[in-house]
Amino acid sequence: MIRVLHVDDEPDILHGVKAYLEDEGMEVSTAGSAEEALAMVQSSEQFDAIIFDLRLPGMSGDEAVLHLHSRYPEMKYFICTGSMDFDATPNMKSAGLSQDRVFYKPLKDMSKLAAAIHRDVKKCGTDS
Amino acid sequence: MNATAQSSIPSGLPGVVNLWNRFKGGLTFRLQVGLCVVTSVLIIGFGYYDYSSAQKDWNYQLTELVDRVSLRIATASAGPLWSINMQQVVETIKSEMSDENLLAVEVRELREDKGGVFVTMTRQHDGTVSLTQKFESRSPISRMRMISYEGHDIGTATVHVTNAGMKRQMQTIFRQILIRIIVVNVISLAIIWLIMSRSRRIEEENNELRRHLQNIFNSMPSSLLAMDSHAIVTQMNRQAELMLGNTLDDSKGEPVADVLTIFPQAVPLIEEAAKTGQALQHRLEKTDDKGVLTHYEIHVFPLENALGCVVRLDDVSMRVRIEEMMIQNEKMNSVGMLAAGMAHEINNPLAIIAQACQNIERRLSDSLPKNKEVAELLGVDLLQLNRYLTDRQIYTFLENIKNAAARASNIVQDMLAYSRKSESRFAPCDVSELVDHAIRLSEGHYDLKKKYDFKHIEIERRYDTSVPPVACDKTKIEQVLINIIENAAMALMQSASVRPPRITISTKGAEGVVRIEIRDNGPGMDETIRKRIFEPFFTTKPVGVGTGLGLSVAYFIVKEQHKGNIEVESTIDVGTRFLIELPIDPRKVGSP
Ligand SMILES: Nc1ncnc2c1ncn2[C@@H]1O[C@H](COP(=O)(O)OP(=O)(O)O)[C@@H](O)[C@H]1O
Ligand SMILES: [Mg+2]
Repeated sequence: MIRVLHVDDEPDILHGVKAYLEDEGMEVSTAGSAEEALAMVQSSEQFDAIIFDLRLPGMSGDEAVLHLHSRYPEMKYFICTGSMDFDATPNMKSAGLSQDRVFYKPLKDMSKLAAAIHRDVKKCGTDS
Repeated sequence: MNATAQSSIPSGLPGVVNLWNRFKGGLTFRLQVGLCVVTSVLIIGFGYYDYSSAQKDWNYQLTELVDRVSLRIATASAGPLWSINMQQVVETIKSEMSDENLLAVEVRELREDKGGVFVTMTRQHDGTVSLTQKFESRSPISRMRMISYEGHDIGTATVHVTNAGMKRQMQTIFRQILIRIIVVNVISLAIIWLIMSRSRRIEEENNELRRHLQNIFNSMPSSLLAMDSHAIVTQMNRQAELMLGNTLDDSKGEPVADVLTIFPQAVPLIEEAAKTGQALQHRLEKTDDKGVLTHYEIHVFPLENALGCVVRLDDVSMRVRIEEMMIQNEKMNSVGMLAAGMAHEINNPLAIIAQACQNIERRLSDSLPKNKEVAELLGVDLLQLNRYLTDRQIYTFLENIKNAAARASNIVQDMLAYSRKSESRFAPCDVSELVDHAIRLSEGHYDLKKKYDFKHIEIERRYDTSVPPVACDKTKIEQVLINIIENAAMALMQSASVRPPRITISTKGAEGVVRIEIRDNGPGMDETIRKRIFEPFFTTKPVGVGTGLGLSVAYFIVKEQHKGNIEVESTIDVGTRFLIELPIDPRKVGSP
């Protein structure tokens, strides 16, 4: 089962995505801030993928991605943001954040996010 | 050969004749001839007076001379004649003939027996006086006197004088008259010539000045029209001739109302300015038969001392457009700032709505195993439930919510385009590729609701392949092109024109910029719409179809983010043309 952590400061958004991905057969945890997410990862919880919002209280999503990627390179990182003009910096790209892992809110079709997670996590699973 | 020989002869001659005729006909010539005649007559008149008075003088003197000399000779020769002493008579005469004018003296005897000439003395050509047989020639003045001796008349003495001296003096006077005539005329002609050449020079200078002023007048980019205090046109420059479609020759002397026929509104302004003596300024609008609106500015300047007015007419369409654009810019900036801040905040609630809809839809379907599981647990028949939901139009409502959320999301996305953070994405792009991509994307945007279909529209591409790569934000410029192409497609679908609908997209490199032109042969738009299309939320489309953001976003992206230019021209029933100008290197364009 694919384990996903979704980080967003809006509980209703977390709720919606969680419901959808769970219907897709994933195990979804949620966090309201980057700090909370870091704590969850460090307390030896295992995730295949983490979805970050960019604008978060405290540490921003992209900072958290860079931070986590240096320690957990095998985890897949996704962005789901409300700002249209987000561009992956070269740093972010080296953290595996290609443009097809960036999603813009509102997600008109959550199946695309689900498909991307399936694609990236599965590929990894068959590799290892 | 014959022809040349024939033509060479008269070719010189008419030139001279012409010159002569011109000269003859000229004022200068008549003046000179007149002056010559007058001075000559005057000089001759005075000369004649001199001449006749000199003649009178001479006559008087000669008469007096013959009187005097004849008396003396008659007195002195009486004795000798009586004693017939010829020798003494000769001596006497000789001594009396010292005066050069005395020509001859003749002494005759009157005795009965011995009558006749006693002595004749004549002056010879060399001036000496000698005895001659007789004096034959006639002299103009002579005097005969009786020689009396003791009461008896014994002879006569006749004295003749010559008028040669007089003639000589007369000749001198005559010569003097001639010389005076010549000298005076030559001097007067020279003076006249000097004055004339000076006045000719002044005239030439005046002409030169007039030409120069006319040149300045004509070189003005404005149309200038001058009139006198009765509003009669006195002058107009070339620009005015072009604008009014009237030549100066036709308009001169006409009332200004008859000349400014295309601007009847201008006439009361001119009257008012003339009355108050205050300069006036006013904007005029004029639509030509093609529906193109031109803005004019009229200035009326009253001349000093109420001597009339000068009217200046300028085509200020360009300036009016720029003013409109600046107002537009202001609006965009404030809207942009507000929109960018708001959009992000709206996206989250929209996300919740959109996600909730998707979840509701999925969790109602009978294909998801979990749904079945829960339904069974609760004893609900999913098929029945779905029938109920369909019957009560729950799915329709759900669809409505989804569509509304999508619409709102589109608006927000457009508004987010106002965010200034764009320069970081600038990269050199091939313009032809970019345009092609945009066309492909808009074709893909086939939208049932918007009712346009690219299958029926001919898209003509005219690319200038020599255009260098342009530094731009590719996706944003594509968005601009898509917005414009979609508008064109929708406009074409609306028009019931007989023309086959067509969109022509051309690119062209120019100095430091690339121009992208998107032209359609749709219905066009009138001036009031054209003025407003770049305004945010301005749309003529039904609610739900148009947001009115497409062009304002395009405007913002081109003007603000790319320091380029976007313009529109439109003619009702002919079509619309958008022109986008992008600097090839926006960093070289000064920041506003
Ligand atoms: N090619 C065109 N021909 C005629 N009218 C046009 C054209 N392009 C734009 N317009 C007019 O400009 C208005 C504003 O366009 P836009 O800003 O894209 O908003 P929208 O398309 O949502 O109405 C349109 O509603 C339409 O009236
Ligand atoms: Mg539009």
